[in-house]
Amino acid sequence: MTGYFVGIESTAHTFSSSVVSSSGKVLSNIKSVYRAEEGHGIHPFKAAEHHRMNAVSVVLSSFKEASVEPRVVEAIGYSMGPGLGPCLRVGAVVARTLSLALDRPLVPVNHAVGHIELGCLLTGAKDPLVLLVSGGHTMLLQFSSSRWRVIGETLDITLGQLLDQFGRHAGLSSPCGSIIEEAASRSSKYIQLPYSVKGNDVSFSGLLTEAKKLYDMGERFEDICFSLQETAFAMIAEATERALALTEKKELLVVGGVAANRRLSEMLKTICVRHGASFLPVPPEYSGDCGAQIAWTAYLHYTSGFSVDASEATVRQSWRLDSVDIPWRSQANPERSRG
Amino acid sequence: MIYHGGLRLIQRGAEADIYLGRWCGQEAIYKVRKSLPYRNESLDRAIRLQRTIREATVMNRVKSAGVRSPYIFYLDPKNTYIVMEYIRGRRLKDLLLAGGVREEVLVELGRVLGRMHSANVIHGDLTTSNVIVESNKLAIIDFGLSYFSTRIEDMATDMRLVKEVMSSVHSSLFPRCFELLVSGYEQVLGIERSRQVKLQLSAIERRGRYAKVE
Repeated sequence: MTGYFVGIESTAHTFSSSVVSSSGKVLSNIKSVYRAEEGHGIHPFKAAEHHRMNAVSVVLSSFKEASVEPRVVEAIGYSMGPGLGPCLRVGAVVARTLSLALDRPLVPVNHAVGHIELGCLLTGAKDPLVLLVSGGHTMLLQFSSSRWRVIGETLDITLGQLLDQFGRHAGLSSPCGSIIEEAASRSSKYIQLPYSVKGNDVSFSGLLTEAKKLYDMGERFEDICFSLQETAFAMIAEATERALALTEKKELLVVGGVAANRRLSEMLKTICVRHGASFLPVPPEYSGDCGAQIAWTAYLHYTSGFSVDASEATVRQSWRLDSVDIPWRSQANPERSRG
Repeated sequence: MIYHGGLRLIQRGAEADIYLGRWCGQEAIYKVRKSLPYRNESLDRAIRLQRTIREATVMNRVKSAGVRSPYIFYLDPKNTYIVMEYIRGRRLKDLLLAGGVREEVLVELGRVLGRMHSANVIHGDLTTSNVIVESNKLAIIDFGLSYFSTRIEDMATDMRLVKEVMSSVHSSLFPRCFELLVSGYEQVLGIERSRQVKLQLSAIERRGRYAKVE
């Protein structure tokens, strides 16, 4: 019999609710996105205020669009972290309320694990190298010994933060990725910027400082955007290529908000061809934060026998995804340990 | 490109292709940094030239610190390739995955890392694929991301990469394999210097995204 699961996402600028079925169909995925003022980033309390104002209508429409009665859901998933405290707490309150009202168990989900598991569901990836690129994460991962393990990551800011912080410096409001992408497409003038790959890791802070400096010196915005993208994406591409060579994986799954960038996709596609790997980007409508990633991962946890009582359904602002046990995946490493 | 006899592609790396060929009558590795089609042309040219020259410089330096690395036969800065000695042996990665590595080998890897750091060389990409085991002796290859530094931060970053690879690719042997490495490292750099590097390593890990603050 098909079971239904609802997922509440509220880690940062997006409040979203989604209903998925146990057969892996996303029946609804409703989002409401907080927009920061121009030149500013996400104000955690204003974002939380936005989430509070929109929570009820988003949750109700997610049931309506899925044509699923709230009382038939098996469990309620919510993003426990990592993310902004005030935003996370709105999601947790909504989830606890649903749980008590419907008398259904709660499943706390790690937001980043959600990105990966939804990506696997939608692309059919079996044992991929994962590139997670968003405002909160820039990581290369593979599954081994019961967890998603980090092979490479940023040593300072994320790719999303690099784009957002430069964009804000130039007077845009977060998220700035798509405006920067559009501006970059109108230039082909490359200005040399710091390129920092350390093994499988990358570092973006020097690049950000230099890009801001160029902007203050009066270089054309389009040219800086172009150079910034070319440099940062080439760094990601090189780290990804190293990880592909190291792990010898035959699939590359790309998830997270920045996965929607066409220039980055183009570079990663070339790499996959060079290494004989399939290129599996998550469909654009699911690349950013959404309830579906939470609902689907909640289903996976729940069927592995995990749920919590409302009194334990708290939030965790800092929560690394490589500390989460993934009981529903096996293989990869013969000696499995839960260390 | 100048070469004698045919070249056979043996590995397509992230930033260079590795060919097996011959040089003056013996087998040799041709490390060729081809232009990467996805990378902006002028960025690409600058990176290839800088890395080719620096790689050769570092390979020479580590030898005087007692680290086995391939001998360089020829370098062409214009076409960005290096011809070097072919070291026979098996990759430490494969040996670890197959489960046939004596603990002493990992201690020795720690000593080798210590020797590089005492010569102010940061390898920059010390994965277990870049360690070749030839009759129980270790050779280090791929100095493509190497550089010179005396900063504790850079040494800790170098060690962090080994740790990252061990905890992901060799997770079933972790953390024992890394502890063995650290013990060899201490033998060369001394307790005090190693302590500084280890402290810096945990500082870097705490800087990581969503790391637990201890």
